[in-house]
Amino acid sequence: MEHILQVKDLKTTFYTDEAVIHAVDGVSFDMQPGEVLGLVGESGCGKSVVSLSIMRLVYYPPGKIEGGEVLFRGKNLLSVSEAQMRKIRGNEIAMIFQEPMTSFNPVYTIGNQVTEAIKLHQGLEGITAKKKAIEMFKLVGIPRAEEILSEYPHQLSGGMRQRAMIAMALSCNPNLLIADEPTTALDVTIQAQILELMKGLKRKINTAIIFITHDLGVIAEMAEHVAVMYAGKIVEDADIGSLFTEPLHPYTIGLMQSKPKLEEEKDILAFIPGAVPNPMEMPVGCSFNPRCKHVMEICRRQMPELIEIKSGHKVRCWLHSKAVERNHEQ
Amino acid sequence: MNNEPMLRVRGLKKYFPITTGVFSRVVGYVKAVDGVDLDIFPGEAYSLVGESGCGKTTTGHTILKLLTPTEGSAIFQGQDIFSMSRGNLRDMRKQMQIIFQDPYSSLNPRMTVGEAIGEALEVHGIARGQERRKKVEEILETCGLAYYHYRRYPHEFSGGQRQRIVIARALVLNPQFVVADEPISALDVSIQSQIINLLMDLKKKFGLTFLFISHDLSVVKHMSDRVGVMYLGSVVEESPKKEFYANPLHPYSQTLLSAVPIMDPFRKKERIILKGDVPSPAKPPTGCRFHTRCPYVREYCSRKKPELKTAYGKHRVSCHKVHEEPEYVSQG
Repeated sequence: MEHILQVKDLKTTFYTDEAVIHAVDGVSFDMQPGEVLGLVGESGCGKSVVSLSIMRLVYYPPGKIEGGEVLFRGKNLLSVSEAQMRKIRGNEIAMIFQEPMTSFNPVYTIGNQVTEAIKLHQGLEGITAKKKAIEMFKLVGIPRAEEILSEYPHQLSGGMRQRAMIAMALSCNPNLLIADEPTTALDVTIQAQILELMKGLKRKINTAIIFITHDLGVIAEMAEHVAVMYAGKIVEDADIGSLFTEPLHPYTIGLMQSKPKLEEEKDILAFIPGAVPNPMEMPVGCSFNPRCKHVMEICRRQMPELIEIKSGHKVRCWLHSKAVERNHEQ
Repeated sequence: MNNEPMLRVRGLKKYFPITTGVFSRVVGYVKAVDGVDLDIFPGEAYSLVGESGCGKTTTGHTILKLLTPTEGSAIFQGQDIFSMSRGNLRDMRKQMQIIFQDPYSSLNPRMTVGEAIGEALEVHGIARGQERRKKVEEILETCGLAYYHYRRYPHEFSGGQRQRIVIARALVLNPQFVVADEPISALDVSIQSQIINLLMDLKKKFGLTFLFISHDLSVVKHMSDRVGVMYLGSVVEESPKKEFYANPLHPYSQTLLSAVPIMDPFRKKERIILKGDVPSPAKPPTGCRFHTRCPYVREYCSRKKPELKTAYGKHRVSCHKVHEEPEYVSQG
């Protein structure tokens, strides 16, 4: 099948007065049409910068996309003109942000903002654009759709605002939707509503989704394929079943074990020692080595490659790369 | 467990006035906490859970009189906190401390760690000079930091370390009762479990009594002995942990539990999806506060507010359906 999106060796760097920060440091992944890719990691791991780089929303100074390719339906987005990029943004690739409170402009009505994309990209005018917006609102389960169009963002609750955001993002039938922590700012019962909505929509409209989150529980529910990021790099890449039944990277395993679970009882929680490394003082070798309990001598010297261990399951870890090498030698 | 509660809260109410115009005319009240009764026993960890805006944080702050209560009483070790003089209250505060949610905003950036933690020792006249320093260094090490962190400033620390400083500051006075207001929700996932373990450790070591305020039911399950669920300013269910998780009775508690995402892609969870949002606490619904979203609602629920009553053992719940109120049953 043809890929809808191929990211190849993407590098995005931020230049600050104090240091040069490699926020995204050689990230590659592929997506099939209609696939849901989960991008997991903690704050500062570069997951949001990946999505901003795909949309080309990294501005200099301080940020710069320095290398790699983002092939969207075969076209490299990093080399198209800004005018072309504008036609793609919000049209073929749409985005939902974390904080529905700040991602709407408070001085325009909801209707104004939702119809803007429709008018711009689909060339619909006045009444027809409004009709389309109402249709989208009904699709995402917003009650009193017509009234809400003339209301301002502050008049809506967080859950409703996020629904409006989703309606706006989907109004131009994008081929790819990037959802950056879409439920993190919401309460659990509202999060459940939004996840249910997104699952339902996925079945209806077959859009590929990049779902960015730090919550493995949400990933387990939404994604078909997962990439775990740590310190600007993908450390593990697998389909959802394989990742949860047999996680390979010590970081992934640590994350899974350290979260208290409703269905089990434990006295002491497993934990990952230390903290995420300061991006200005990245450790030499594997960036996880200061926190890893399986650390070996080679980990402190050299960064391992992302290697396919079994079909479709890749990991960036010397523990496993070594095992593969041994198998080859035999 | 002792039979005499360490803290007894009765009829606690906290209303925030809504004002308008140049003369700040009061046009209504946000009923953030609306009649909460709590008993917290020595040595236990009690958790208040609920969604944002349910009044759990306001409850925690009002109990410590960080906010002035509108009504009600809080008896801590036999003394009424709300009617105490300022001097007595200050003495009392040695016994009761708070850990705030966000370690980025709860530490003064201009104070070194030593000053921030040591200030309390000085204010309460417990230790000065060398002795103060020794005590601070001790508590730093107890909380998983190092003695040489004494002279550093908060910006030199990561989020998890900052939260350790905040915990050290709360514990340096040897309090008996600690309110922990969402102590881990501002932290990264890989750090959360470190802090949970630390708090559980300290609880054992110092025999602390905790009031945890949290929205995360899986964390609460790990950390507490008893659980109280709040919705729109009232406790709707209260129970020892085991019974609560095995058999949640209130429809709202059931929903909350079913909404927690589980880390297992192969298990499909039966999920209750609520309609709508939490109503505004300025205009709470009549009768049962939950009736506008409840899947089992009947007409009676909008007329009469259910009381928090014993269902069985120590499991208390406020719901007409659970208690099989005759009027509710007759409408079925």
